[in-house]
Amino acid sequence: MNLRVVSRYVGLLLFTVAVLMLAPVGLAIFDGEPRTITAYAVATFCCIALALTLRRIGQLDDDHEIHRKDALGVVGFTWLALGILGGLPFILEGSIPSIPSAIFEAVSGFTTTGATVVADIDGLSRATNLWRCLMHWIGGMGIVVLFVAVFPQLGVGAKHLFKSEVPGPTTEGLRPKIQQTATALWWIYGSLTALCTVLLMLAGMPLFDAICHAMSTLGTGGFSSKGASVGAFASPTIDWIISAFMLIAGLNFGLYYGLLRRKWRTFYRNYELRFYLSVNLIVIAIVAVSIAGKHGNWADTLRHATFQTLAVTTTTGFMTEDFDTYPDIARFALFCCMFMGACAGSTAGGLKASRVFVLGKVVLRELSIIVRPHQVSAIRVGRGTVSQDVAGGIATFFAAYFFLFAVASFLLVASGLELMSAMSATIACLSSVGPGLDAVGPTHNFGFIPGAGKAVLCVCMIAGRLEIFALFAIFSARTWRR
Amino acid sequence: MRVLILGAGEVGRHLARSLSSDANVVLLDADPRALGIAEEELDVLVMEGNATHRDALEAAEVREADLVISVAGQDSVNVSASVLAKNLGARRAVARVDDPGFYRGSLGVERDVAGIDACVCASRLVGVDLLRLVNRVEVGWTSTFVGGAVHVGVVELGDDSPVAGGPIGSLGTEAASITRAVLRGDSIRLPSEIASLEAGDRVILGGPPVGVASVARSMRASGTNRVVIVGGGDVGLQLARALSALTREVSIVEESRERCEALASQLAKTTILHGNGTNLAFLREEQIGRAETALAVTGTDEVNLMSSLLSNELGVEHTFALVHRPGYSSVYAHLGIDGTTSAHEVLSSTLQWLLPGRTVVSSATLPDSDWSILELRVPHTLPRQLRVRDLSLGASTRILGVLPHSDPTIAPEANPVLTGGEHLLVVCPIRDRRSAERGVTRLETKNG
Repeated sequence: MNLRVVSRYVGLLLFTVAVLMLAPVGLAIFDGEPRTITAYAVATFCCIALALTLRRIGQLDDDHEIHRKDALGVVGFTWLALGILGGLPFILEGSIPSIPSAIFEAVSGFTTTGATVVADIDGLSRATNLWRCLMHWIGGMGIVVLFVAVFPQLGVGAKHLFKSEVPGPTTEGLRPKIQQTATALWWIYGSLTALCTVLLMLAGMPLFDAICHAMSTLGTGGFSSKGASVGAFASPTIDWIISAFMLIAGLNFGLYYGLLRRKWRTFYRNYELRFYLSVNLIVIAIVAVSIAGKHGNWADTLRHATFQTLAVTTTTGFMTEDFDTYPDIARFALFCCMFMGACAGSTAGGLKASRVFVLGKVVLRELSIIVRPHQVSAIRVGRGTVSQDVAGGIATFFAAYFFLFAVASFLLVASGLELMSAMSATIACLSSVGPGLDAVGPTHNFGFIPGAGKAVLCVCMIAGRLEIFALFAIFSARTWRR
Repeated sequence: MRVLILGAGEVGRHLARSLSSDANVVLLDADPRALGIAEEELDVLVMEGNATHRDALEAAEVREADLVISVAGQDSVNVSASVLAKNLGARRAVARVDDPGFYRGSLGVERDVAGIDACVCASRLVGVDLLRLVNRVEVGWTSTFVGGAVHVGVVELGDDSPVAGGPIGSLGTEAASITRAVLRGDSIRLPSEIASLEAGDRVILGGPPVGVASVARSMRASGTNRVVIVGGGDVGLQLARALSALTREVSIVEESRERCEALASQLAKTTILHGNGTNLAFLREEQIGRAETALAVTGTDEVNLMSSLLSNELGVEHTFALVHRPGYSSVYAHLGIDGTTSAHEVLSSTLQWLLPGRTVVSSATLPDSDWSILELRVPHTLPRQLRVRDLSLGASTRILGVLPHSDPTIAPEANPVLTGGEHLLVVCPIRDRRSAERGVTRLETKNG
């Protein structure tokens, strides 16, 4: 890894963050809250100062080409820095005075987890709520993807950067150049967010809440400007709009690009989409049946079952009611869904539906080989096949994911959490869902977890967002060798 | 501009790299490993699929491609893929066809064959490029235009030059298609403007590679007499044919007995030696060291490198080698080999030449002067009938030659009628390059 190249680009990326931080500064000025203005202005200034310092260190080197190792370094360090800089205004404003909690909130924001440490969300300033949801929105499509879209002429280095932040199993480019791909993705993302905002406003949500919820929904984050989350609006229309957009955000954005280019067939033939929708329908049915007695009518039952299921499977983490009070069968179905997450190429976290599907196929094939050892069969997915290498890579990813889950759960239990809370908190952070079960359930928050536990969960969140390897690569000695 | 490259091998990847800064490149190949390498190295879109399957070409959006380049391993695949691509709506298609028997001419580029816009032969093109390198030993400075079909050389006349004092018209009677101009002091003069050549004049010659070399040779008191070519494949054969017209003695060293016999029947004036180009005892016995120039053009990099080093060791003044793996040229230069060429480089520069849209197709600056040579492409449709001299290319710009579309030879007329699609070879002061370019682009704007 060439530290100067890394420093240069981390500096440029942080500069992008500083520009985005001007949004809450503007809102705080509009609202006339001196303390909030100072907090966000100082944080922006710190961001710019750090960015300029890093740029200066990076400028000493003429070698501007970004290699794979450098890209991993840029992405890894940027995401670590995002947590600290993103949490700075919370500390300065006093809304979250504890440093570990503020960093946790920011990491949860940028990684689109949506796990909060704030008990009284309704008491937060509008600027802080905007910043929380803006972090989701930036983190959803990815700050590096935004950077690649905005800064041309990075060449193949841009591709390395892009892939370090979007490492999912779908690597097919939408456009020939990675910059064009990144731009197309951000356009689609931005347009869908705008559409969601307008629909929410038409459904009666105030402008500010509509913007916050649209950003949080499309980023599959989960932060809400209301303490009772989406449930605070008590509007079936809003519930259905957000359910629809959670689902939209949970699908591969490449498919939307295909739709724009009238490739209908690639959309409905997509095996991951079919699989993901089938899983959702099954889980919605399980949840709906199990909570049938809770609501008086089927319409409400179906609405709540759909909303809670999509909130978990798309790893958004909104709620219209506390799913932790559901019968165990529904809780367990939702807990399992936390592992899978949504589709590759979406803004959601988790293992990704395509990986789960392929792994299922691998398991079935292994079973058939035990029965007929001489049979040669391919791993068929949709209209194509998956090579042995790809299947091996997916199995490795599963192993790493569960290993990290086990280690983090153990550390949380060791720090004093009860078993189910520890396990659900870990997977809720690793898959970027947000709320877990029991002590970290939808109506609770993560504030009570000790500092060390929060640090473990921060690592889980970033590792989950960057699909594990990109984060741990910067801790590997091989990455540091030039 | 969108370019679809069929075949992600070494050549395909090299082309993708050289084109990706100007164009949106899509790379299609059936081999996932080759695509994996491309994905890692290049900012292009890679797609898995067979180049001769309609589904794969359609998935790669061939209809939107401005240019399709087929550079897969087999000629038949390249031809059928290019024809298919054109049928499916690609604007232009270029195929790599390495079988020399496919071509009528000897240049390595042929236009409009079976619906394909251009077919390129890598072995012919490297042969022509090696000839340019050999010429550079005598001429001092050479550059290629018209996709390698035209070489331009500059010969400085010494006091002992046999043509000093004579009229410029006497040069090149044997090759009518050679264009000439003289750089005297700081000014360029056309043949009609000077009475006789003087020592110190720098004569600019442009035309087919062999013709330029032959005229250049007639202008110098001494020159290369002996050339050894290691490797008797198509490149070796083409080089031997071209060089035997220029030098007294050409020898080919070839390892295969059958190939030697085939060469002997085709090359009357060339000495064919059956042996290994890396066998020191054999090279000594055949007195390879007496040659001034050695060219190693076998199909293996190791043999070419070793043979060139041995030739140097035996006393050959200038050694040139064909390089197959891209990116290794600097290693050869480091080891003292005078020049290299490779299929990747020549194919890529030829394809750059074939790319649509640019007015200045290629350019070069004359050494130690304020003049540059430009190759300008005339638009395909012209607003009215024009003669070359009607063009306003700048006061000091001189037209060296006009090449009709699909014919890479310089027209003999001094002021031909332009029908569209011609290439102009002009020499102009460096500061006037823009005005020369504008003189041609203006025709397009009027038209469009």
